[in-house]
Amino acid sequence: MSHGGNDAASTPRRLVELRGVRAGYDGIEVLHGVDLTVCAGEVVAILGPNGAGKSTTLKVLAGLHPASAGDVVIAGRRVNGATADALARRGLCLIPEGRGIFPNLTVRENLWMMTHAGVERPQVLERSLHCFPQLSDLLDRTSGTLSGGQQQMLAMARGLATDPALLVLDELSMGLAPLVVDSLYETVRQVADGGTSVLLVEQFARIVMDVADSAVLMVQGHVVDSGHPREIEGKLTQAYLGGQENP
Amino acid sequence: MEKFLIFTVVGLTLSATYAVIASGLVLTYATTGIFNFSQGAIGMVAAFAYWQLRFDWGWPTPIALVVSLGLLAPAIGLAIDRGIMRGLRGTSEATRLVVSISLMVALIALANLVWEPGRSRPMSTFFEGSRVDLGITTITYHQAITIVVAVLIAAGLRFLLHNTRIGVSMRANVDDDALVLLNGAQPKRIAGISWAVGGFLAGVGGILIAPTLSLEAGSLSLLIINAYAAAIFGRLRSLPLTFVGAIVIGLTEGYLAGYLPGDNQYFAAFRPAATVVILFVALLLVPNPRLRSRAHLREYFPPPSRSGMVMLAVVVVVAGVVLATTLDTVSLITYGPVFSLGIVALSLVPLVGFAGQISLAQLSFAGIGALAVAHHGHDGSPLGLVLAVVLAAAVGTVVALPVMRLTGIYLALATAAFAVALDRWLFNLPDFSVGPVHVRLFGLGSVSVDPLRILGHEFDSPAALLMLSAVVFAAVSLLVAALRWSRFGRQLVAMRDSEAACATFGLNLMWPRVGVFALSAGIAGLGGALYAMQLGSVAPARFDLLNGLPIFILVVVGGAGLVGSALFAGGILYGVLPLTATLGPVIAKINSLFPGFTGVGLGRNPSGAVPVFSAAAGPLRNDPVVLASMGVAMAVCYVLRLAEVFGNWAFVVLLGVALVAAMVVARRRSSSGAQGPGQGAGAGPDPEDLEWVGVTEPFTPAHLARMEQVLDLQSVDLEGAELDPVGGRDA
Ligand SMILES: Nc1ncnc2c1ncn2[C@@H]1O[C@H](COP(=O)(O)OP(=O)(O)OP(=O)(O)O)[C@@H](O)[C@H]1O
Ligand SMILES: [Mg+2]
Repeated sequence: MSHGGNDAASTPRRLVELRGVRAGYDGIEVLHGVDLTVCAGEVVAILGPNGAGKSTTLKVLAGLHPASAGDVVIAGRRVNGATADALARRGLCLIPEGRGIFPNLTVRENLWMMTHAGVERPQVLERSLHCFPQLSDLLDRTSGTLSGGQQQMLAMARGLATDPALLVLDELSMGLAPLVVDSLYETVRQVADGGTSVLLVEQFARIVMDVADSAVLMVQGHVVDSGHPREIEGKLTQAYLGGQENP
Repeated sequence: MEKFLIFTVVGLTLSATYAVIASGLVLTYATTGIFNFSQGAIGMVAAFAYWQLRFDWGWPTPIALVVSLGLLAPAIGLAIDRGIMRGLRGTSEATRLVVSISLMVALIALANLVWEPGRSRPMSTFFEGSRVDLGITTITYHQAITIVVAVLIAAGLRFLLHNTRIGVSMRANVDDDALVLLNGAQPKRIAGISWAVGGFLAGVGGILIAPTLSLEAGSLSLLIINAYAAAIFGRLRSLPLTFVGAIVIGLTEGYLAGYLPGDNQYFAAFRPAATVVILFVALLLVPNPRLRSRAHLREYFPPPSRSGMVMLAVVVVVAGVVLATTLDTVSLITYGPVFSLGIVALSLVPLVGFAGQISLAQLSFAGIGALAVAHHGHDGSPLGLVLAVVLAAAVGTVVALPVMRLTGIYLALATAAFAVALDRWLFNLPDFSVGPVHVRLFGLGSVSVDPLRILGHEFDSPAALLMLSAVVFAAVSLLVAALRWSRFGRQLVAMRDSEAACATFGLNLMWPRVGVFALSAGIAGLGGALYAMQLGSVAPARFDLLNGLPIFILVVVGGAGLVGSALFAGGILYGVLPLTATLGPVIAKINSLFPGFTGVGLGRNPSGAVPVFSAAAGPLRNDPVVLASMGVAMAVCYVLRLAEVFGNWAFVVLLGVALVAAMVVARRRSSSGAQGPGQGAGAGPDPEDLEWVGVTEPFTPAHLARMEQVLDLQSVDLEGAELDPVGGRDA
């Protein structure tokens, strides 16, 4: 699945580079030197078993969790130590694991929160409802009462409405019906075709086969392999069955 | 009709004030998740500041208002956020509550320090003397202003929270502050604004209500109980319902003031307690809260070790003997409560520490114990002590039954309401009968208490009573430790950790809670009875809510799950603080700030202070040689003291030197011999202890079986599902 948009002749610009990133919780290291590159316009998937450190990698990238060593480079600038809100206002949009919404706010108020990233309120509303027309009937519902799929759409709306340079998605598929997942990833594909780079995390390669340009395999805090999602899929099965011997 | 209208206006004015204060409370709770017990105390400080500027220094009203309301009150709110609340992320609700209760105690102490209590500080109302004629009745300018301000604030808050982005962000913040960051907003700034607005609202309430009451730090801060009642109507979330609650409460108070016959003692005493009763009822109507499944918390309390408990009991008894033989009568009375009120502190360990429940009413249960021993312990009959435990436990059960489904803030408020109801109402009633039951109280003053007499021996001197309390303290400590080791204790801890998980295991959540509440009330009653014997004659003021809060705070500061924390609380409050206070009035003043400020510091180390001390003393505990030498040295000092070679101060200093020297030597020895075998053998966890399984030894199906038995799970039948969690693969 080749993806047009950027000129193959010019060297692809590296939008995100993680170099030897280490991080941990309460003194226990869970990332042992992660290297990862996302080029402009590219869709990269991080695959790996539970507890591999995928979410932690994303948190470090988004400024939610400190890296204890290594470099986090975005658009050529080392951003270790930058706060999550500053990165968000500069075009990094992380939709976290679970439901990235405020359950006690209405849908409309959730959309309003997105304007902190710097996009005006009417635009946010227009873009979100354009992509997810289902939400327009739900604007004044308390978002915690929406179905899982509706909640994930609302969460995803931030990725569309704020027009980020880099969209980072953590297990979009979690707990959703396959059809809903397909339609959400179709939206991701559209966003990517619009020029946004995407870094996404999933447990299973199959889900992202049609979306991702490339994939990396993460096991026990290391990136152990990279390539086309199809190549990674086979190795992923191995990682699940006997990840221990690998790193 | 005229009278009715007048008291309607009086009631509505009160409503307006309560509404303003309660809305500040709801604002900070809804936007930061912290229930600010000190909301009233902030208002109190603002009112004092306003009095200082406007009436004492004679500044013009607008300037005084701008400084006290526009600057000081929001600044206090901001300072609380910056200095205290930010450190509380990831702590339990109980810890947060203790911090805000401590803050209230600290602000009261601070205000009493700056504005010496007992002086009259007259404040006039706004536009005193001018009235507005409404046709049917006239109201004062102050009343009109109060009501208008409340309405404006209601409208303003509603607009802020729903129609401005900052307001929406405030509400978002309490849901998920990481997500707020991901949206590009700044949670810290947002929380700061919430606290500043909350402080401002507290200030408005305080300044509006202070002129109609007297400017007294404690009662102004507690007046807020009325505002809490209003906030409970709104379930701490809904502003409109909070305003409804405020109107109900204000009008009730207004009409009671107008129509309750003032010549009947029973009714007259009821008036100040009416709101508390409303609060209590409102709490009962709170819908069942969801079961908590606890998130990652920073507190952790290991179960007591057998050797540690024996050591604690021995130290307590020896300390009792030493104190009883070295102190003069006056000092014995001063330091007497170390152990008796220490037992009240001990009553909090199973409740707060093990079960994670909160009670602010332990000293009230102690008061019930005191009453029991006063009325049934004539001539030292031991029946008095027995009844003290039984009656306090019985009242504890009666209180517990309706409120036990409440947790956290609601439970804290319900017990505070109970304590205040006793302080303001029941304890001040003359004796009465309900059917065949004759209830004897403090007889509108104080009651005398006879010292205990067992087998002809009468504990009639302060020294004998001190020793008695020390022995009882040691015994109750062992009892509490045994409780922690028992199946019941494990159930309590399991519930504290996750109610939801316990419910899915099929545990009944109700009876352990009621049981531990009753038990802890009984222990408090015992402590109260001993305390009453030491005093010889007791009045209800000894047992009021504000006197009980420092005990609660220090137990939590010590580390509520640890038996040693009760000794810590008793020792500091009734030993160290009075002792250092004799050094001079300045230190006495600083001491008055101590409980509040240490409680506020809890956010830094939620597991408490006792683990810090016991870690420091760790090498000493494991070094029998140094320990024995220290014991001998102290014993020698004691003998020399008894021989009047030196006085008490030298004795205290020598004991301190011996202890510090022993700790230093033990540390040296342990670090030099760290590689040696057998080191720290005594410090390891009890291998029998199930809670260490998986850490100290591998987990086996036998452990599973025992765990099921310990947690009372035999009845759960999973129909032969594959339950072999480990090892099954290898088999
Ligand atoms: N808040 C935390 N505190 C302590 N340890 C954590 C925390 N969050 C994650 N960990 C640990 O870090 C490791 C990596 O976790 P992470 O959430 O990054 O994994 P993941 O690859 O996203 O897994 P999953 O597919 O299950 O989401 C795990 O071992 C986990 O236990
Ligand atoms: Mg994850």
